[in-house]
Amino acid sequence: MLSGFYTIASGILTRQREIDTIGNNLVNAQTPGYRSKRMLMSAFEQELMTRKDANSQTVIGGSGATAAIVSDVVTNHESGELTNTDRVFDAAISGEGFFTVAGANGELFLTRNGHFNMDAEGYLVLPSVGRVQGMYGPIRVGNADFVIDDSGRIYNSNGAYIDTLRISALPEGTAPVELENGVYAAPQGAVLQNAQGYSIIHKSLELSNVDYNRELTLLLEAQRAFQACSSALSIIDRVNEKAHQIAQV
Amino acid sequence: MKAAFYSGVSGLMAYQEALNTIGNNVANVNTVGYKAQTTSFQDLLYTDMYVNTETNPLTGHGVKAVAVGITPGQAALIKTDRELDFAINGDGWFAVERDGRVQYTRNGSFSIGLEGYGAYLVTSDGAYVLDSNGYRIYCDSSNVKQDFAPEVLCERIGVFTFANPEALEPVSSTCYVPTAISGAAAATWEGRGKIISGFLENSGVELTEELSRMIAAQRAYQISARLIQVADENEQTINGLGK
Repeated sequence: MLSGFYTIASGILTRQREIDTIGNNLVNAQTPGYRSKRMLMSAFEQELMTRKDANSQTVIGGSGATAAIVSDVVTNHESGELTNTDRVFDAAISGEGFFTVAGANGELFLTRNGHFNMDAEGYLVLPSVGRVQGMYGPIRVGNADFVIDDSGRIYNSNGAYIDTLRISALPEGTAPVELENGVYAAPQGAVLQNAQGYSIIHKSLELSNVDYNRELTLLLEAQRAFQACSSALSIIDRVNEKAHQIAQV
Repeated sequence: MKAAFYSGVSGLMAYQEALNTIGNNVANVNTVGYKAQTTSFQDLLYTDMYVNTETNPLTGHGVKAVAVGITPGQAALIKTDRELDFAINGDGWFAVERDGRVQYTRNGSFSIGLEGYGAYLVTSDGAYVLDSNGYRIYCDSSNVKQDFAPEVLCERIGVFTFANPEALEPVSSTCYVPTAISGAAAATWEGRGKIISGFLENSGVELTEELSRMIAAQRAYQISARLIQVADENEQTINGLGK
C-alpha cells in the first residue's frame, strides 16, 4: 500500500526536474547559440527503492511499483535563427559544426555562440571561455578591422590573409558534452573532425533555438502533472487515514 | 532542488540589466556623440541532476547578462553652423583632459575658455581639448580670432584611434576611457582633414532597433517572472499536502 506514496513522490520529483529544465530553456531564450534541452522520462518497472542507513540497506518499496525517473536530458541541436548585428566580432555558422575555442589549460571547447570579442593581446576570444581557434592555433586579429568570408577565412583591412576559423564536428554517433557558458566538449575518446558543408556569416549571430510557445506549453503541462501527482498523493493519504480509522473501530 | 525558481530569478536580473542598458540608450537618443551600448546573454552553470542513470543528465541554472561594449560606428552628422562645433567624419576620437586625466569623445561641441591672458579650447563642460601630441590647445587671448579660426582648429585638434574601440569604457559626459582590451590611443595623422567644422555627430542610437530589443527583453522578463510563479505555485502545492 505504501508503495503508492513513493511512486507518486517519484512523479513529483521528476516533474520538478522537468520544470527546472524547461525553466532553464525559457530564461536562455535570448542567449546566442543556446540549444534547448528536453528531459526524457521513463517508467522504472522494477525499481527497488532503498533507503540507506548507516550500515544496512532497508528496502522500503519492494518490487513491482512503477516509478517515473529521469532517463536523460537531450539537447536539440536544430539551428537557431540568424540575426544581423553589424558587429565586427560576431559570426554565425549556417549548417553543421561548431566554433573551436581553447580554454585556459589548452582543452578544446565547442560552441555555436559566435559572440566573440578581442582580448588585450589582439586575439579573438569567446568571453569567459578562451581564444577562438583557427587552422594555425589562436587567431590574432590585432584590431577591430577585419572581414570573414563564407568559408571562414579571415582577412585584415589590407586584404591580407590572417587565418581560417576552425569549424569542428564530432564523429558520427557521438553527442557533445554540455558545459556552462554555452560551450560543449567532445565526449571522452572522441576525436574532433573538421566540419564540412557549412558557411560562415560574418556580423551575424545565431540566436537560441528556444521556442517560447512550445516551452510555455510544456511548462504548463509539467506543472499540471505536478499538481495531479500532488492530488494523487493526498488521495492516497486519505485512503490510509480511512484504513487507520477502520483499524481503530 | 528548486532550480527553476533560481533560473527565473537569474532571468529577471539578466533581462532587467538588458532593459537598463536599452533604457539608457533610448534616453540618449539625442545626446551628441553618444554611442549605443549592447548586452548579450550567457547561460550559467550546469549541475548533475543526481538521478541514478548512466547518462548523467544535467540541470541548468539560468542566464546572465554580459556587457558587450559600445557600438563605435559613425553616426549621422547634424549641421549646426556654429564655428566651434566639430565632427569627425570617419574613425577617430577627440582627446580631452578632465581633472588631469585624458578621456576620449566624439562630442565636438567646443568653446573657448579664458584663463588670464590665455585662451584654451575646451569642451562645453570645461575639459581641455588636446592636440595630436597630447597638449592643450592654447592661444593668446588677443589672437583668438585668427588662432581659433575653424580652419586652423581643424588642423590643430588631435584625432586618436584605438585597435578595438568597442571596448572603450563609458564615463560621464559622453566621454570614454581606454581599457586593456581597447588598446592605447594612437594619434592619427590621416585624421586631419577628417574634422569638419559647423557639424556635430548625432547619437549613435537606432531607435527602431532599441525599441524592438526592449520588447524582446520585456517579454523575456515577463516569462522569467512567470517561471518564478510556476515554481512558487509548486511550492504551495507541496506545502498544502497532508492538510
